[in-house]
Amino acid sequence: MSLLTSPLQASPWLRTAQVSLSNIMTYKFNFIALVFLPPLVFLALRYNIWSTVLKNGNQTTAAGYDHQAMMAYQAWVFVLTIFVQGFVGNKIAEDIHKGKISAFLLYPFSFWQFHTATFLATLALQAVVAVIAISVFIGANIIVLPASPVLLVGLALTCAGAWIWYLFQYIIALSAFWLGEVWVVRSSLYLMCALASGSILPLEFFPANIIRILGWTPFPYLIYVPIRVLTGAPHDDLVLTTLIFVGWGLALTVLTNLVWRRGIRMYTGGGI
Amino acid sequence: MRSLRHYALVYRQYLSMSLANALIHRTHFCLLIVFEMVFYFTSIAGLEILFRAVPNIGGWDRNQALLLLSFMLAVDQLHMTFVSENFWQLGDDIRLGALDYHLLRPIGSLFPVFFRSIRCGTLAILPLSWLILIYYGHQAGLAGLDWLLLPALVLLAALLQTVIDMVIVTLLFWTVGADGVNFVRINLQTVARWPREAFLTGFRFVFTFVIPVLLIGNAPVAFLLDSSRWQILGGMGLAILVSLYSLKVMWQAGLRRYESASS
Repeated sequence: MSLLTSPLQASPWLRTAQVSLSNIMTYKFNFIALVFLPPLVFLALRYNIWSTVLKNGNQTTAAGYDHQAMMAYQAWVFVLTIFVQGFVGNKIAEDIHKGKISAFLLYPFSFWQFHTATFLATLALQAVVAVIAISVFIGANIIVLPASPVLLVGLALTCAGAWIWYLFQYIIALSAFWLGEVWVVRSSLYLMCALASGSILPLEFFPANIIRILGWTPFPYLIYVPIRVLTGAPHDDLVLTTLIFVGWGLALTVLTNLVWRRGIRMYTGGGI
Repeated sequence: MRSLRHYALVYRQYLSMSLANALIHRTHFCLLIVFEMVFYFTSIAGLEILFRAVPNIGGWDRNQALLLLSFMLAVDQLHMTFVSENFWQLGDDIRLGALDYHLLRPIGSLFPVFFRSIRCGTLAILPLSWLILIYYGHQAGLAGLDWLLLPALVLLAALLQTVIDMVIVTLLFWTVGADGVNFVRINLQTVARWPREAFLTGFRFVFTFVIPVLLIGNAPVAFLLDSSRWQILGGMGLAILVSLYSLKVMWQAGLRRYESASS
């Protein structure tokens, strides 16, 4: 075993990530169609609608956004959707349904560690796609990267958003202990998230009361808040934002443990 | 006629099996209803919020755009109930070789592949989708004859959407992974919920003549709002015929490519 390869082979995290990447790339079209195409279709849709409304229509601004600002916002939605919401936890639910977690109960690498390593591998791949998309948007003069400190804050918020999204996906997948099919719950989350995170419309379009309520949910922190920071828009409540983020992260982590413990108690697995 | 009766008898069995399945998985049955309600709520709320800041989109005002949306929700409801589940199963059938069993049956191969599973949970939401359509129909000022034509137009639109989706999922013979192709299909449905005039020329051309999703709801609703635009319904009929022919060609090409998993 050479010095160069031994750390890689010794770490189950890296090995799992490597295998996950290999699995993803086996079905390349599937990966592209899952991670890249939906945001691309939405971007095309929004480009058309906002160009029709703000460029070819009777008005030049809507809720404070002109055509250029709206295009920049939608471009960031595209990038963040790819990076933050690219992970789908259907494999986790499948492992539970098919009784594959029996093996993980004996392995020295837990079920949670295995799927978290898979998530990190997927995230790395999504980061590559996101960086390519950002480069294209910068080249087309649609977005401008902010100064380094702001960019770092934006990136930190984006990574935290991806983590919150993973916890959501993981908890939903764990509901497979009780439910025959979990796609209904997952799809409901997608729909709620698309509206409440600012993916469909910037939150400035929403009534003030709704914005106040949404501020206490994790959804705006997945898309809208990171975009506000990355576009250099004034954001006074960075401390409160961080606190809400951390609060939701902790709450979802505790919930993950709780659901796992409850679920594993009633789990009956087949052979290994 | 005898053949039709045979298909009807087979379909009755499919319906009976799906109902039995739905009654076994009661939680899933209830969750499907909740999911549909979330889908309706988020779709309508998104458009209502947009129209707070925008007076019209490509000449379609709030009432007209919401009529289009509610029309498409009624179409989606039929589509979700009677065919959608089968599109997800086809990927596994091809990958695992289970398609063999359908190809050997003494019935047209498309029938068991695309019509054997029915989502009974979604069927329960049928009254809600029609209540929403009637509500926004009233707001858009639909008159006597329009209401009579409405059910037939919804069925016609559901037919076009189903055939387009069938053509798209035949790509599974080439791609293997099922989720990606189905996500493409779902995203195209999203495009169909917007007014055709909201799209710039190039996109409008592609989604009218190449993948005619912009005719599914736009053609019937444009006709309902202005009966002098009957030609667009003719275009929709043509799109159904061309899509049916494309399905025949794609399905046969797919079957030629299919390699059974068994040995």
